[in-house]
Amino acid sequence: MEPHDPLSPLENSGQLLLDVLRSSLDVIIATDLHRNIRLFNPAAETSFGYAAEEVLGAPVDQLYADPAEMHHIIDGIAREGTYTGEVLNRARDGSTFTSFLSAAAMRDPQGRTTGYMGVSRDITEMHRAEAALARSELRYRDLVDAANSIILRWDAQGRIRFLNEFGQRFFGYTAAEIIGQPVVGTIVPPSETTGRDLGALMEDIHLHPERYANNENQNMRRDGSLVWVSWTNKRILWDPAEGPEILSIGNDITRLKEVEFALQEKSLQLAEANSVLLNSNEVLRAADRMKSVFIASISHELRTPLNSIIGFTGILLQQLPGPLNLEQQKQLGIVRDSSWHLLGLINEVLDLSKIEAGRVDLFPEDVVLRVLADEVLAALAPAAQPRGLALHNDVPEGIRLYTDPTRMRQVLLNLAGNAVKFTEAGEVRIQANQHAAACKIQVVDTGPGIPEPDLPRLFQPFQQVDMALTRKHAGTGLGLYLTRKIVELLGGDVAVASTYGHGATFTVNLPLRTQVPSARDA
Amino acid sequence: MAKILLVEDNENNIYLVSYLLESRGHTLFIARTGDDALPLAASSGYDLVLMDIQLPDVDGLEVTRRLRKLPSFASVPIVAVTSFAMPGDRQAALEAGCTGYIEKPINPATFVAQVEAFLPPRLSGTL
Repeated sequence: MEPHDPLSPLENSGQLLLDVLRSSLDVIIATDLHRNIRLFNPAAETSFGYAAEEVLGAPVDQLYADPAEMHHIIDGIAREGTYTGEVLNRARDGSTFTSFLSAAAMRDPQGRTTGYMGVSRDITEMHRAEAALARSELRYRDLVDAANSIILRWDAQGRIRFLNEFGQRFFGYTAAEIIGQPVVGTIVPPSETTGRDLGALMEDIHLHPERYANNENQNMRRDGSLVWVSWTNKRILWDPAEGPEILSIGNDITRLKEVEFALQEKSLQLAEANSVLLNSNEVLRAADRMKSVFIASISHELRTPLNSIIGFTGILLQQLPGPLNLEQQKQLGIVRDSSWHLLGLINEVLDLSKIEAGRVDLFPEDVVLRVLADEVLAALAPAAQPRGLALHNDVPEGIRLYTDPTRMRQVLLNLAGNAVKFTEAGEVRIQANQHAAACKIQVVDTGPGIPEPDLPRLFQPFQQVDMALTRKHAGTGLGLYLTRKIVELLGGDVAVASTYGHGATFTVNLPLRTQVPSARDA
Repeated sequence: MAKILLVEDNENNIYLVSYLLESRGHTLFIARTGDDALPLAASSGYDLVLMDIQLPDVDGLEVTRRLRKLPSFASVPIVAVTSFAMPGDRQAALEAGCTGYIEKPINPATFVAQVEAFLPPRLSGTL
């Protein structure tokens, strides 16, 4: 900067003032005492559309839309010395515009009024923007009030700063009643029916609004009724002096919640019912195991007295203690047969209970099927002989099984024994063939056959088909059921085919190798 | 004629087995519990032991194991007589040291022959 000459402003004041007037963005106009224009700066030329030469000496009144306003301004200046305010100007083309005017009386160094001067600025644009803002605000206000959602603002102290009309209707308060009130105790109950502390929740929302961006909690209407509201929460800071607020927008989800709770209740009930079922299932299974253990031990106890019955009947029949007459021999013979039959029954029940309790161990070894069939048929020969039944072993030499021989023998003895028992005349045949890793063994008889309706329940317990036959042959009703269970234990299946009146064929399909379960389940 | 030790707790069975075997001329010694059997076994030489498996105190399998440890019982046949009738039971009896196995209820028509099969022919009884 150049050194400052204290005299220069005065020396150059004329030029400086001209520069100021020329350069000012604000309109500067000066008049004489008669309000005739004496100064009209370039900004005035731009604003009003007149060239300075056109208006110098002309009354300033023509620059106003309403000349009466001019008088009002002059009166103001006369009274107050200055005038500040909005005025409505008229441009050369007749259009009007609003200006913000600061006007004053001009005085000479002696204090005499020499005229008037005014500085003004066109504020039409500013007005338009303000009006637009006001309209926009009004629209947003309408939006907020017309929204079918609760819109709420509340501060860090938990006091309500704003609640839209929908929210006021929803909760049952007027704005005057609710603004400034704490949320807890008005629209928020102190705690939820679930037990959650809502006062603490409100504090936490202010501390960590991001955690509650979407939050559901219980609210309360003026009448005390509880509602569920789904809220979106966001911290806003409009005015640092007023502090942060939470803007909460909420929707009533009471109905939804009721359905949700009902569903939860139902699903709980279902889970409960399920666990009761599982429990009773377990109880049933335990009862089943106990039943099997009970039957096993009962069967054992039953055999002990049978030992005496069979033993001493046998001794008497051998006439070891002394001779018997024919009638005594006949009757003791009945006792003997009956006790052996009873023993058979007990053995089957014992076997079944062991199988059903999973307490059977298999001892598989190599078995030549034809040899086994020979043994079985030999055991049945005494029963077949009196009726002249032919027993055939058609099992090929080469079939070898790796299976439990005791159980396998039991199966064949049961099936062939049945065949012998029910066949009055003709033959009983055991045949077999091997294919891949399995073996098909068949017991074929020329007996009475089985009525078709009875076939499906033949392998069920106590389902001996013909009651007359049952009486005659004194079966236990467990034999085929036991047979099926054993075959299944050996990894196979058993089926029957029969045409009533034309014999029956029982077929056992067995794997060549019986898999032994790695662990017993009892 | 053989000296037979019968280990059995049921009086009727004792009577039945004794009657059948004594009718053949064999001599029976009775132990009614497992604990009775051991001192009795120590006393004199037997030709055969008939062993019930289900006994009130020490079971027949355990008694068999203990008898097998006595030098005098190293080669005496011990035959299990029991109403356990499953294949696994036969296996357990043989593993405990039993020579053979007769299933209860005994069949009086065949019992004597079953027992005498375990005796040398010179000791078989006669009616």
